[in-house]
Amino acid sequence: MEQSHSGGWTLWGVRHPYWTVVLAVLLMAGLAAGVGRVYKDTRADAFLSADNPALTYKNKVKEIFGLSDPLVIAIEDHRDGGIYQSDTLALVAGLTEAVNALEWVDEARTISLATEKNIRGNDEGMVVEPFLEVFERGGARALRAAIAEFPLYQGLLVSRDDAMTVIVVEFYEDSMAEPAYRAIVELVERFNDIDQLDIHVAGEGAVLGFLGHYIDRDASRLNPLAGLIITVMLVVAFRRLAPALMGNVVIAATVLMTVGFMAYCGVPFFVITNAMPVILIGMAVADSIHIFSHYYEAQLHHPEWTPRQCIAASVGEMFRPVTLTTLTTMSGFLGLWASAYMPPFEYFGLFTAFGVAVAWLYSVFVLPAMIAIFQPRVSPGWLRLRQRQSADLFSRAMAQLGRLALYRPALTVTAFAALAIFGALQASQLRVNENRINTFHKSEAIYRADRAINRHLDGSNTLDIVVTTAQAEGVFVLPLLRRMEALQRYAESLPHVNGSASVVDYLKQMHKSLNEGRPEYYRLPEDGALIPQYFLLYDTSADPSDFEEEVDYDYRLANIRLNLDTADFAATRPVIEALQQYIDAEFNSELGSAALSGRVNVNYHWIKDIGVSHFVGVGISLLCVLLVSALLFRSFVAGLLAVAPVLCSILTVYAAMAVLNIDLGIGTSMFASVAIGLGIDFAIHTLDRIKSLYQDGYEDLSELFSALLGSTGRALLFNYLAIAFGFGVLISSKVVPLTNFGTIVVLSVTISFVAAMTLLPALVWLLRPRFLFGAADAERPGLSATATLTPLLLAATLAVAGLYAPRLIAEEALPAGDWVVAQINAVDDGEQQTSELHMLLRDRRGKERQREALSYRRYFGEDKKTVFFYRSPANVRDTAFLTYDYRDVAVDDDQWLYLPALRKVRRISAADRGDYFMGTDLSYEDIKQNGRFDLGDYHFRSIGRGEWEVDGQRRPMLEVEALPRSAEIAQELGYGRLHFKVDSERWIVTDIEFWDPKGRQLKSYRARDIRQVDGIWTRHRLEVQHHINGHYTAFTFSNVDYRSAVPERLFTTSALRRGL
Amino acid sequence: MRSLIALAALLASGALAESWQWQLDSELAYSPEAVESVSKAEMRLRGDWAVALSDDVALTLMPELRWDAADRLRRRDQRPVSDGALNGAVWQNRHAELRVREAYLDVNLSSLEVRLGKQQVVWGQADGLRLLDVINPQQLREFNLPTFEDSRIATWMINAELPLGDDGRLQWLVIPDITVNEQADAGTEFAIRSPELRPTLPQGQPVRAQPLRRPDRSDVEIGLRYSHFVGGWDLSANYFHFYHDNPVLYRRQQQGEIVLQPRLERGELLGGSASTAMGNWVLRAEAVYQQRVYLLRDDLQDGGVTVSGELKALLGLDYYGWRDSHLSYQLFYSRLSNTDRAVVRRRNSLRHTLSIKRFFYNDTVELQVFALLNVDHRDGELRTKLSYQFSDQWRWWLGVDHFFGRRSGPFGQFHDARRAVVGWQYAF
Repeated sequence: MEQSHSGGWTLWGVRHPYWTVVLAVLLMAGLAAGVGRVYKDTRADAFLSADNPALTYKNKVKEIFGLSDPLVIAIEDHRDGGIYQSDTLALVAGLTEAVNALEWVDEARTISLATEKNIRGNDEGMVVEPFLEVFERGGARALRAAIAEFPLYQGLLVSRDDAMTVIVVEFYEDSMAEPAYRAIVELVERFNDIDQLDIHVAGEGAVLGFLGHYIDRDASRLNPLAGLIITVMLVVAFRRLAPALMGNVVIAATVLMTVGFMAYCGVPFFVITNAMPVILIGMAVADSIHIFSHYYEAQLHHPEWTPRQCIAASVGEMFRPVTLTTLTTMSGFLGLWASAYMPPFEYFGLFTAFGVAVAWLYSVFVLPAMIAIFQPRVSPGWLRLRQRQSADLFSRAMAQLGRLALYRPALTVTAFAALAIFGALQASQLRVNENRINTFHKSEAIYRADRAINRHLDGSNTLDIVVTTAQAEGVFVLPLLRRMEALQRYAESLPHVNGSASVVDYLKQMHKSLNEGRPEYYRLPEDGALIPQYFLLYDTSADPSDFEEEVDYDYRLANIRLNLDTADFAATRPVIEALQQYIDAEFNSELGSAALSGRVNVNYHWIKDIGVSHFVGVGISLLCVLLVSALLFRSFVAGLLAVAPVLCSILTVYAAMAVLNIDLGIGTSMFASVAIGLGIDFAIHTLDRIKSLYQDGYEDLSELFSALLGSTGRALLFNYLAIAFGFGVLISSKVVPLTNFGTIVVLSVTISFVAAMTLLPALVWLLRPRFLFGAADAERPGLSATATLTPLLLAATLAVAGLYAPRLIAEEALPAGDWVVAQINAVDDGEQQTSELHMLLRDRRGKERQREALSYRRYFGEDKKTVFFYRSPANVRDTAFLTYDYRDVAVDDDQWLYLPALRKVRRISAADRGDYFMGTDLSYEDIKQNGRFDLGDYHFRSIGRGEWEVDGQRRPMLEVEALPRSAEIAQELGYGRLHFKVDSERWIVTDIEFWDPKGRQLKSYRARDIRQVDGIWTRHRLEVQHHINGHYTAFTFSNVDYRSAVPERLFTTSALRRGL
Repeated sequence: MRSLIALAALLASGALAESWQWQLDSELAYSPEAVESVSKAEMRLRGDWAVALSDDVALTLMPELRWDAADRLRRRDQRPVSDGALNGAVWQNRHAELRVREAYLDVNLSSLEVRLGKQQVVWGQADGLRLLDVINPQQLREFNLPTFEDSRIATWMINAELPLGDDGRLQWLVIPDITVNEQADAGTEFAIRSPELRPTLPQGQPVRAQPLRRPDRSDVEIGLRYSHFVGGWDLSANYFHFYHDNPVLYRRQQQGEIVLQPRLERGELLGGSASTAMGNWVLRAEAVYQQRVYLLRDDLQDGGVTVSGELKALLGLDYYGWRDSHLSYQLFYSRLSNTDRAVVRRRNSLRHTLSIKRFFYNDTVELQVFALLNVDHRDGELRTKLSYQFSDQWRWWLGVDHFFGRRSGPFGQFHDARRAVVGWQYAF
């Protein structure tokens, strides 16, 4: 070891230790401060990018039918007679009431025996009465009979064996699931005072509510445990506390800075992100081990050197291999990032790569600086061990392993090749499967509850089939209803589909009720004209909104909800595919079309590609690692040699998974990229050390490998043990995917390590590659060549990762701006609308003008027509404005203005979009867009998310910036920049700030009093404050009506002339 | 009939007072070159009452009381001869008149929309020039200075519209009310002097004027219009079988005197209009062919009148590209098919108009400039108006109306009538 290695900027940390530590602390404090901003996103939906069609459609369906992922409270009564006991029913009623009283619960959507109604016929027609009234009147027997007469509720509300009934609860927003779940569990504990009665809480709503807490609990246990294990490892390895403490500083910096940076970038903490800190701990400590190991060796071999000289020598020696392994590890994780299509995996890859870079930075600069300051002395025990190196158990073990491998090098290579071929063959047997409930340990109550509910009832997993017809009341058409009935029958014939519900079931029940309750009439009526009449009859007897989960407000869409007893992808995939085939072949026609939606369908879409994504990820990661290794050693053979141990380990893991029946799911699919990133280190260190030893004069290969395994092998063993123990901690995780992940990563890293210590020397022995032993490369490139380039490459990679992340977040984790606008533009605004509009215009001196107008809007196919008629005051009375807004953006809109003073309908230019409408502060374009945006006008970019108060409620919002696509458009619109907030659940734009093309703040727009009318979110008040002229406009809408027919004749120039 | 309407108005006003909307306005005109410089000091009270009698029937009534303190625009107390039997003021004297501006019943019969009663119907796309807009006669006491809304004389008619297909509409008019233009009285500021419109009588020869010869009471005017919106174009085809709004003044020499016989003559109009928007531009076009127009001669051949066909066409371009502004240009051309040297009017006529509107302060202030150049007589007019909507109730305005060019021209003849106006309006 020569001190000549200690030159150059790589020793900045040793030369300026205090500055280095101060800068490191500042940098760490700056980034770690972001940790407080971390937020969790444990939704299954988070695995799909926000613009995934399946997710978008599911959200649309949710909006139309109000269907969300419910929480299910199941009351299981083990007594004879099951749940038909007065105390059990009283509990159902009391618990329903208590749950409904919770602030997060959407009371209108709660379903239980206490909320649902029986439909039966009597002499006067149809009677709709609550089930509890049936019980109060006729007791348990009557209630059992009523349920028996209502097939829809059997298996859905009450189990067919009478042992279980459910309370199905939905929350206003997914974000409320966690507090709501906790409150419901408390309520359940309070109400559960009946012997032989169990109350279970399950369903996707419960998973969502519990998972965040579950992961927190797990993380708070795992991370300290991993830190502790690492500390013990370091103390054992170096027989001193100082390396353990300093190693923990590097670990803390790596983990805190990475998580903090992630939070600054607005990336949430997903379910799988839990694995990241543990991985970083394992990897950060590996670099520290190598630095410390060489530092102590320098002290041993050069007792005359000062500690500063020793650390300088250590850095000089280790800078290159540490940097090489950092680069290869990063390339493995960046490969995962590049190949992943699911946001959690993307961010996992990206930010773990960032963490690896931080670990490198702190290991090669900050750790040496700390050593230079504190000058830890080598432990006498360690010294004794080193002096008796041959007696060191670890060294001896490693040397023995090497001898074994090199005894018959060809045999060693053949053995690994056989293992690899076996693994490759077994890989085809891998099964892709995932089930969210399996995230929980089998001992968890939620897991048991899910099993119990799926045992007794039709199932806690939902799959929706949305039927769309071309026109209002299209679902009343009898042939379509018959097709829906056949579709339900077919669906129920599929495995795991135990029940279904749609408007067809209600119609059948109504038909039966109106025919003296005779069972043979439990079918659709023969006469299609009866169908609207049944609904009318129901409306007169009960609440018309009872069907809002089955049909939309104008009876154009209908939903069929299927209940499945499992969410296993392997089980639901055939169901989805069979249904899709049936829909395509048998259902879709001019009567209507069907599309799959709901939780099971969304899960299908994100899980089905896990397999492909995994293998593509592995391929890309291997390629990255191969290329980087080849580049660093300037030899393609070196790349292949470096990859060989890792490839063996991955293929072996595939074999193990197939043999042990471990499915490829969320947790397991990540292992390969992680294993590549970690496993490659062993190969790189081995190859680099072989080269170094050869250059140091070890020309005899036996001696060379003996020296290699005795020194580097020992350090790599500790490196391996640190990683293995770090990931081993995951095996104890309660989050089952993490347990699986930890297990196979440990297995894979073990194989990588063993292969690097055996297969690689055997291959080198057999091949004697030129890049190691060639004359041209006789001189090992020092810092002047490779090591000077590698930090530059590293810095560039780090910069790309760091710089790219915020942009990525703005566009994807924060969803893409165009996607956000597409959501806004897709919000249902009704086929037609009538409203009264009051306008208040106030100038800067407070002088007010008021206007009253009537507005009508109606869609004609894809085109929209809107007309305003002014009613007062006299000076604008009878003024009318008509616009035809064409779907085809290439076609200019048509607009007409009727001015009573001219008695003439004037054609006006729709290009005059930036002009203010009738003296208000809204432009013609603002009026036309009605809270939406033209994608062709602006570049949209999401710039943030958060919660803001609107109408007294904290609402989740996205912030988006819109910049006109050209200067011409900016001039035309009068806007140079827009910055708006949109409710990320309702997709209503609530606030817009406008700047003019000169960059002056122009006006502020606020939409308030947002409430649902006929199921459509409607802005009842718009306010615009013009900042330049001080003018203010308020639009107040009243009597908004989406149901009443709007006559076509209103949208003619003749109607403008004639008025209303 | 007039009394009946007045009675209806009275009843309605008492019974449904709260549904009335009123406008009280006043305008003062100052003409520095006129004999009496204050040419107009008018006050008007206009009511507007609309009530839906059922979902498909609505009644609208618009009475107007007008009072002119200056009384410079009218010379007579009696009812103007222009009024048809069904039309005219309910009550009037030299200073004031009460009339029903409009009164009609809207009836929707399925898709057929019928408006029955006294009303204005506007055809065409032209601004400030009349090609197709000839359904209602005009009150010309102030020539073309008032808005057409104010100057059109509503007539009694049946106005039915029927949608045809998705974008087509057929309009059918039956007008039994043969009211014609009310010309400014002789001696008033806007009395016609142009020889194109008023015959030049030989000096010193006695003239005897016969009463206006009206058509038979059962005679009606018939209008048909088919309009269609297609490919972004508003198109219309129009036909009007009508009486000319200006009586034809036949002259003949009889026993040493000139006998003037005004007579209403039939005309046929065939025309069409088109408009569309193209980016910031709106293109408007209008063309009319009249089979019989009656032209004054400078001799007494054929009663001093020549009958000719006339083709009129107008092309308009509006520009909306400037914020809060509206610019409009029109080119008007007409050509007579039958003319000779004795016919006073020239065979071809060419006019340009330019209109600029600019709004300020959230549409509370409006500046209008309208210029018309009549190429064949090298005359024209320039009108400017600045109005301020002070509040929902109050509006004020001031303006200047200027005529220029040869005094023999239809605009230059009012050279001395140029004036400044100031006015206000109060709505309640």
